[in-house]
Amino acid sequence: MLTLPVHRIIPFSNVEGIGNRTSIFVQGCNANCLYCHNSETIPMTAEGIRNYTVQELLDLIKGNMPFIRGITVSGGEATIYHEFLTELFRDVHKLGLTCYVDTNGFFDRQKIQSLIAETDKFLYDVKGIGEGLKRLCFTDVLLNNDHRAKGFQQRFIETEEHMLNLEHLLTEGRIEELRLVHIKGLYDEKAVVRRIAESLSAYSEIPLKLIRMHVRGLPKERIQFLKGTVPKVSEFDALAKYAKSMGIAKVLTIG
Amino acid sequence: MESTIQDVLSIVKSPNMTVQQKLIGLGNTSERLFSPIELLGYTEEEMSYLNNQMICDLNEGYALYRPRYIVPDYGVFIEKGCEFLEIDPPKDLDECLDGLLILYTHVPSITSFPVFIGHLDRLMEPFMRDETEDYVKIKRFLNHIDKTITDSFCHADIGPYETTAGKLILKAVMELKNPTPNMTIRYDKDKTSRSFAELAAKSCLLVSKPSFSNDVSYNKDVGDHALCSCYNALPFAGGAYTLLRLRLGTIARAAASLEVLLKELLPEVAGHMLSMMDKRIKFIVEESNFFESSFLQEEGFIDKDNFTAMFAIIGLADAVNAMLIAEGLDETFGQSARGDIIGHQIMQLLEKLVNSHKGQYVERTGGHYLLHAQVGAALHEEDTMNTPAHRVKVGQEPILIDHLKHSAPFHQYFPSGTGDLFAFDQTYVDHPDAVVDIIDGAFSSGYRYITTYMKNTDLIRVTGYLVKKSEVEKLRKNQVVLRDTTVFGMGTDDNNQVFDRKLRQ
Repeated sequence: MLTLPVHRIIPFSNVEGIGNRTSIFVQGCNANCLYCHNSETIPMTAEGIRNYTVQELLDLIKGNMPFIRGITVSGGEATIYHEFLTELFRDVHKLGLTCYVDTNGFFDRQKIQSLIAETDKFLYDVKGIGEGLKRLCFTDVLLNNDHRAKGFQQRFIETEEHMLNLEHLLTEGRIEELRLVHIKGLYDEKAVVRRIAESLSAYSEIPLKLIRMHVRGLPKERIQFLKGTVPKVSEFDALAKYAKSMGIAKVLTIG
Repeated sequence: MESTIQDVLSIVKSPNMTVQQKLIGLGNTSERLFSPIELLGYTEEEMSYLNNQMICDLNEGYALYRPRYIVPDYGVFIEKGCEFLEIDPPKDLDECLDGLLILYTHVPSITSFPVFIGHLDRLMEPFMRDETEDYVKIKRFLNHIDKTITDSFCHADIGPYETTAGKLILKAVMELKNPTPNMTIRYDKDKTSRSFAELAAKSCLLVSKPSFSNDVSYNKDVGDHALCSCYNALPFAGGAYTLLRLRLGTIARAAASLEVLLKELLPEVAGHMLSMMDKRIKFIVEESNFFESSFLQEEGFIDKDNFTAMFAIIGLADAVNAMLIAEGLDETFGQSARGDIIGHQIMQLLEKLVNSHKGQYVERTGGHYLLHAQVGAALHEEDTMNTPAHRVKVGQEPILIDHLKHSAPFHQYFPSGTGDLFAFDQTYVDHPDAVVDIIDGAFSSGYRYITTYMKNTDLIRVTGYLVKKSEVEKLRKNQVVLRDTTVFGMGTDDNNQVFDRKLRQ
């Protein structure tokens, strides 16, 4: 029977998509971002995690009704578990609830087609574009991530498949919000914002959440790799301004 | 409690009361100079339950000269003006607001201030002309109320429909950050627009009002009604003569077992409270000449046939906790399946006792008094052992989802009002959509009334009314403060640590 390794469940969350939602944080990620604030969810297994069957999660979600309008699966990287989630979402939809996925975009669109079809909305975290992604998201310096996205160099750094995934989901009307964590020196920030602006040009109702990277609360070993990458408030404000000038209608800043 | 001539002098000499507060205090003291045995015909046995604190009369007084809560139909003024006060029906917003302010000074209650000042949006909406100018007037009107009705049991209603006036009222309330008036949005998700509900939810987080009432369930149980004082749902164009309350925690502490509590003590004490209520109502209606002398009755603002009375409880949590201890269980109300069963047994018994008692002069509510979950506003030390209403004791609250599921079934017992309140963190201000989802869920689970606030604001909801924490601090330093409710806020915080409710994240 399929199970899902779950790191944590928050019964009521107001920040993972619209309305009050139950958030499920899966264990395991295919990236290893330097600034990750949930780095304990990166390894595929960890102490204290629990494996849930579809039925077990369904019972738990039912218990949170009628106070929630849906669920959001975050992580870790939810799309790793696309088979399980496809099955779960099918049943959750029967309860009249919506199903959201929070993703880093590093997935194979063909492979997770069924999940996409069952997902109402994606919260899409754009990590960046270009060679810097290797250091930012696919590093081995901190922990050996066996599950790292396969062939990332070719797929996400050269072909920019995560941006194509985004554009595809936009045309399908499955994007609720975009996020970009502003970090310095790992990607050409203006180029990334321009690319997002192009993608969003026909979707003015979709917000871009621009988040200024911070290191508060991060493990020490991560902080040392982030020296010199924290944008100044003025630089962050300038990027937000630039995003607006590029035609992104809704820029929300968290800095 | 009976008062003495000495009480008169101690009020006169008080260092931290305004003259107005002294005047009101002197009035209340004089009401209690009479022996209720002689004046109302209380029996010695009834008196013994007042004296041992199992029944609390909230110092309502014995020489009663007006109903406790009065809920006028201010629409009468909009339509016909007021003959007694010689004011014509209003022709514009200025005359509407001016006339209402005049009327408020003539609407009595237990606090001497009006506990209901109208469905403000409905009263104002016909006079809306220019949003910018109207806003200035509405804001000035609301501020005037805060400074002259110096008691936050004064309550205004809005909703269920979205109106221009309703939106301007919310805007003004958010800007003013005043304790008074207390406010409710009568909410029905089939009538209230989502955006109006979310605006109200945001306002509730920022300035602790308006609270949300379940308009569907109150319309069903009370008919034409309004929310007044803390959160009392009372017949419109009427009100409630009196409110006495059972201190369930105090009663349960005297019971050796649940069986003794349910079979002997509770029916005994409840019976005495019902008969005291009978006597109080009889005096107001037959002796005080209130209805005979009131222009509100004469001109149709109220009708004596629209009055009821409130049979209230506090301390359900403490009663259940006492019974859990008696049964040897290391659990507390709110996080105990057995505790919920005991709580419902107590409430089902009281519901039966109240509904089988035939009261006089309460035909509007089927000849019965209405159960009410009272929240506080007494300074007696016994209240330290009686948590407001059926609420979970501060410090013993489960997580929000479990708390909602636990408390929802208790709301059914209280047609004349109950409510739960939850402190949220800052993140919810940007997500009133999530708050309204929780409210929708609560109402579909049986909630009658719910309110929220943010923990770090100055203006907070104590139990059912609002105080400024800064004013409580002034009072703690023995300084004079404007609002008489501040003293209740201080007492309730001292007794029940309500400023420290669990934060919902």
